[in-house]
Amino acid sequence: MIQKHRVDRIARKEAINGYIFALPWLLGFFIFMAWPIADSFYLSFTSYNMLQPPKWIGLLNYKILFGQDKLFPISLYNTLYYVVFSLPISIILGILIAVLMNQKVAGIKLFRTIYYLPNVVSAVAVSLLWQWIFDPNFGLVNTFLAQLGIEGPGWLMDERWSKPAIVIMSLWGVGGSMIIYLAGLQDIPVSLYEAATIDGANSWSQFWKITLPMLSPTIFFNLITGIIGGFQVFTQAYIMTGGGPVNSTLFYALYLYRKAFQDTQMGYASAMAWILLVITLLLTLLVLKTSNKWVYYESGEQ
Amino acid sequence: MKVIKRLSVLIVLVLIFSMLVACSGNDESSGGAADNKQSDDGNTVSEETNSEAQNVKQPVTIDFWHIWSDDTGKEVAAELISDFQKQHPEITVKDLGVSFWDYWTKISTAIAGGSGPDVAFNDINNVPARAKAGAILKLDEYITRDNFDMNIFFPNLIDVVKYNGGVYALPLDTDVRVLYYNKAAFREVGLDPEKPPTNWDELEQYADKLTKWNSDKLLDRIGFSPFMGNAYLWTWAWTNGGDFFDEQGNPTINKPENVETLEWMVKIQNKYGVKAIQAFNSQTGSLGYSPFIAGKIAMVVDNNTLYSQIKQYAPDMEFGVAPIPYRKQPASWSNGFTLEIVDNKDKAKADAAWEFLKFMTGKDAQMKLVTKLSDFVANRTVAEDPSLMSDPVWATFVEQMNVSRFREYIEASPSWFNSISGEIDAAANSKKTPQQALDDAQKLIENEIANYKQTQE
Repeated sequence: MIQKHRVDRIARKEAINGYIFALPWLLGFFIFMAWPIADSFYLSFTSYNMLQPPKWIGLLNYKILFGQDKLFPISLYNTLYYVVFSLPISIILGILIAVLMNQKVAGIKLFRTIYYLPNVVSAVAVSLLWQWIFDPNFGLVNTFLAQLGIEGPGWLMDERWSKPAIVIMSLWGVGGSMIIYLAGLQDIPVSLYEAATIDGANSWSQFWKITLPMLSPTIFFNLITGIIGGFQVFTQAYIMTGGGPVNSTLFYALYLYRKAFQDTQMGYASAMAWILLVITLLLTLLVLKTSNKWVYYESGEQ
Repeated sequence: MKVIKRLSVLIVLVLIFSMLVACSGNDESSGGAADNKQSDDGNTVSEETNSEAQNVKQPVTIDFWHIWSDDTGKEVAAELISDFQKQHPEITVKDLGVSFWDYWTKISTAIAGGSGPDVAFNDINNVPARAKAGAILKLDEYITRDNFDMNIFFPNLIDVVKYNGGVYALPLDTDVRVLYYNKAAFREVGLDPEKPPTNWDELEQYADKLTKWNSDKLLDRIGFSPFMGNAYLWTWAWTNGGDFFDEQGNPTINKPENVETLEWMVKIQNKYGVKAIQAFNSQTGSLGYSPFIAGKIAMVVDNNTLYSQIKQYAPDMEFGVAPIPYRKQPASWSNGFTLEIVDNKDKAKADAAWEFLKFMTGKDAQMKLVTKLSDFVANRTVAEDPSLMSDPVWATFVEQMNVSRFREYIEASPSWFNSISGEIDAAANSKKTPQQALDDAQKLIENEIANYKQTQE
């Protein structure tokens, strides 16, 4: 009995010490994350202009969003379009570049740095840069297309091409996921490839049978963070197009920002934020559910 | 490996929730509960100070937030504050300059959270929002007490800082739009450079003459396009007797005058073709300065900052300015900024803040804003100073203030002009007829207002 008491005491002491050490993070989490999150949930049921106290209006914000707001479905569609196209392309491209960057070539570290570098540049600067690249008259893209005898489109000025342009632009940041894939690639035991080579597998089948399956947890991770990040696309439209032309780049986060800070309808904007959360959560859960089928963990105990 | 999976679920949840915080970003200091608490605390403060300090004779420190965050702006702000403190040794002004792009979220959330400054630089277009909510102080008592003359400001500015008959802000600076035209281009095509167009028809004829195409069927120079520069549908519609809201705040976006205006705008635009215009737009967008300066547009409606740009980039340019050509009545469009006293429930600070407002809108400070920042100031007596009026360009700006207007402030749809921009784009690209586009815009705003009203019931 005495023994047990002592153990309890020690355990409690350790627990308290642990919490004290974690306190800065805990405080930060509750003050800057948990409370604002809870508060925004409450605000989504109110009408709140930031100046007067919020007024409870129940589900009205949600009712308006789903029933009467014409720009809401447009912004949701634009955002889905962006996620659906930018995510798969960036995953495939990220893996390809990572495989390239995993070769044993002289100066490979330099190449890795070069491919990662765009990620370090601020989104605002990148947006301005791409405005030049997409310039229909003198821009890099259309000048190149003209060399091939193709008349390039108006890109950001043309509502049919503005979303594809922003999707293409998103590939600029592919270096970020490339680094993660690279780490995943370097975790794959060399012995697997050696064994495969002895068995006579060529590098193509090695890629499909070894590299991809072993990389699947990393792909899984990038897929999920990509979904979450993709739904928040904002800066490009905010800086480059302001949502136009013809609302074709009015992304969800941009519309939310407008409602929050230009129309000062914080309650409405909070409701929008929660709808986005639910959509993202559902999609993420869906991916999690299917992950059993395609994500391979080395111990393989599923 | 279950651990890894559990871990990844955890990471996902944290990421998703962090997204919420990102979305509601600046929301964190704006909780309703905190709001109420703040005003409670504030009340107790004001009771104490009421008995202690009746005037500004005791040392007091006020906070002042503005957008002069770097370069010359920052220096001028520091200089003005130091001038003020010399005149009022009992007042210390602590200032904070935030870049224009970040300022508006910061100021609105800070005021909401009760941690705003005592004097706020703010947007003149939405004073009623803050006045109605009681976030800023009504200035009438101070104005009467000090016999402060509001008529030092341009008359159209006085109207917009009022709410329910009371004055809630002092105008600090403004801007105004005029027609800029390239005199060398005029001469080149045989137009009299001293006779700028005065109405829509002349404008169109001159534009045709001034437009130059190159061999690639691209535009070398545009004579004039109503979609370029800084005028937008509302400015042109005003010159055609149009408006966008009636006295009761009901939208009148598809009224015939506006439709006529948009039809005219699209008609001129179509002379160039969508493709050429798009190419031209993006090319000039990446210039970093106005295509007018580059000689790419012969006539453009823009605000007074274009004049500063010309002085900076092309001081030798031969150009003239004129009132915006109109169809039914002269009009121009203005924006501006104010200084406001945030209601922090502290009489001593409010008194000091009022002294600062008077100083900043007074002769010396306003003259410094003109000479050092090329600001178009709100104080008419300064703007009309003979030393400035000897510049014919400046004189035109001042003169156009007589007809200049502000976009209607509509509580239920403060950024209605953003909301309808999609419809105007559609008309500009000939996706919709002007009538159809404005009918849809009308419905859109009616809908926004109805939705907002529902939430207020």
